[in-house]
Amino acid sequence: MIAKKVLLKFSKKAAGRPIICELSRKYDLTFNVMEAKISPKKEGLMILELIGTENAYNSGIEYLKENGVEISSIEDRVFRDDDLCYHCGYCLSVCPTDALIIDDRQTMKVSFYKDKCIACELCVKVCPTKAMKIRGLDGDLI
Amino acid sequence: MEFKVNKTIDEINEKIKRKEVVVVNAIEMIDIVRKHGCIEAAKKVDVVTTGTFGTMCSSGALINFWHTKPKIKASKVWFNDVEAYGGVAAVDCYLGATAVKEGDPLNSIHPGRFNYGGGHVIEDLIAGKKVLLRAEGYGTDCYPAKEFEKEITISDLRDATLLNPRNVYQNYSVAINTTDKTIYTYMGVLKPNISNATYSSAGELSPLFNDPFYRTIGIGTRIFLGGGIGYVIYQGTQHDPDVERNERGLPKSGAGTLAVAGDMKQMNTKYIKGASILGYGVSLSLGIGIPIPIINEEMAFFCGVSDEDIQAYIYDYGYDYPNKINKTYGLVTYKELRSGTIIIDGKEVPTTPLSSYYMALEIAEELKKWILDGKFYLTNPACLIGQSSDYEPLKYVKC
Ligand code: SF4
Ligand code: SF4
Repeated sequence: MIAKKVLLKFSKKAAGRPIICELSRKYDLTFNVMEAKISPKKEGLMILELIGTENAYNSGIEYLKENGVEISSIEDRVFRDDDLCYHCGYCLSVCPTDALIIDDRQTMKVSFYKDKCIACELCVKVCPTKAMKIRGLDGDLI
Repeated sequence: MEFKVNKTIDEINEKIKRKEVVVVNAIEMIDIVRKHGCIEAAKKVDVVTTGTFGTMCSSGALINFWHTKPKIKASKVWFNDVEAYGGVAAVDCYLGATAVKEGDPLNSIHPGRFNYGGGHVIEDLIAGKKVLLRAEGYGTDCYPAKEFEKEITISDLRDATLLNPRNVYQNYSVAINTTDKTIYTYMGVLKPNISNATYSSAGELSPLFNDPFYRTIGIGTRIFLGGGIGYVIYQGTQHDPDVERNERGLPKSGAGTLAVAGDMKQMNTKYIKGASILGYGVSLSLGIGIPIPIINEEMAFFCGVSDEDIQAYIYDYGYDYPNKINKTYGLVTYKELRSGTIIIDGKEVPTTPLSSYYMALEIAEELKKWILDGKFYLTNPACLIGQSSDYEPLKYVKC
């Protein structure tokens, strides 16, 4: 079993169809919608966590691509500029997944684990020094 | 009452000069006092370094930008479209840390982002970045110019002095939210129905918990300020030495504050940063380190303070605080706060800091290095700041 988070970009055409339902029906994948900005007949974005066997995952991704959905990993979507982070802790109360966390109560250093990040962007709004940044779909900073 | 150990600051400075001084940070001092008692600790240790790094709204820059040609009596001044106060002499002005850039949407879309303001200008200047200076005057015979505009950097400024009316708060409240809506405060994001708590002090590392009666930190005390050298210039605004104290003499709420000043040209953006507080405004996050001379066993005792000795009251920022209702939801120690959860009304509530303990320690270490390297000498305060009526020599000392 694997669980991977992916960012899906739907074209106008793809946005109108029940692709995600098909995905779980045809390929035996469970999914969590982490975030969606999508409406019929418009381009849209969705962050999905896909859970299933490696085979099911690979075929599912193939299916999405065939249907005109662009796929990218969200691992690096949110990142931290360590020069700007001063380990204040403002971000800790909003991070829903413990991607931002104090592991060591001795030093009180704030760690960022990008593999736990679901790109909800809450920390990006809250961080007082803008140390938390988002990379757009084309790799630019937003 | 007589002290058994008596050292002067001049003697400590002699030791710094001879490279014989013993300096430890406020965390190292905890164990030393526990192990050896405060009399032995006072004999062994000469200086304890403390630190704090947090958002300090009551901060700003006093700037003189040299006379222009022709001269201007600048009554309105902006830096990168952030207005500074121009109601002082011709080319002097005061740029407050919380001044927001003109045209900012503020909280019209709540919670506002507050991307740029006085704190950010201060950071940009210290970083050596170009900043657009704009000034307006009404024109006089001696100062005819009515407008001035120029890109400047900090080296073009005649004086750039950080001048902060209130920093280094001795203690602070723990914030919760009892309402059913998320609120965006200077104490961070507070979730509904007491779902989280925030606090804002470096506790055992914080300067005024290590000198709780302001016996060594006074007017003229030389300090680490934003990476450069600064001074305590007076007690801070709202300084309140007579709040309720515990059996170690530690205040359970706000209490003491310091006004500080220092040359921005020496500072380093690692220790001073503009801050955008969601839904609240802009501010300045600032690192300050203060050396405490261990002149007697009482100062050794005070510097042996640890997080379990320090308490703070919990307040509701959802309803009570904005309405000036003084109701508390309990008293907790910094040890509990730092553990990550506290109990309020039988319920476990996660706690998160707003003040950086991590950087506070780094500053205490940096200041220690400066003293050991003979780059930083201690000063005798010219005068003590407002004293507490609770203080008597050795009254609180247990060791
Ligand atoms: S809020 Fe920003 S600066 Fe503070 S700990 Fe989080 S990432 Fe670092
Ligand atoms: S975007 Fe920020 S708040 Fe959201 S999961 Fe990632 S680290 Fe946590």
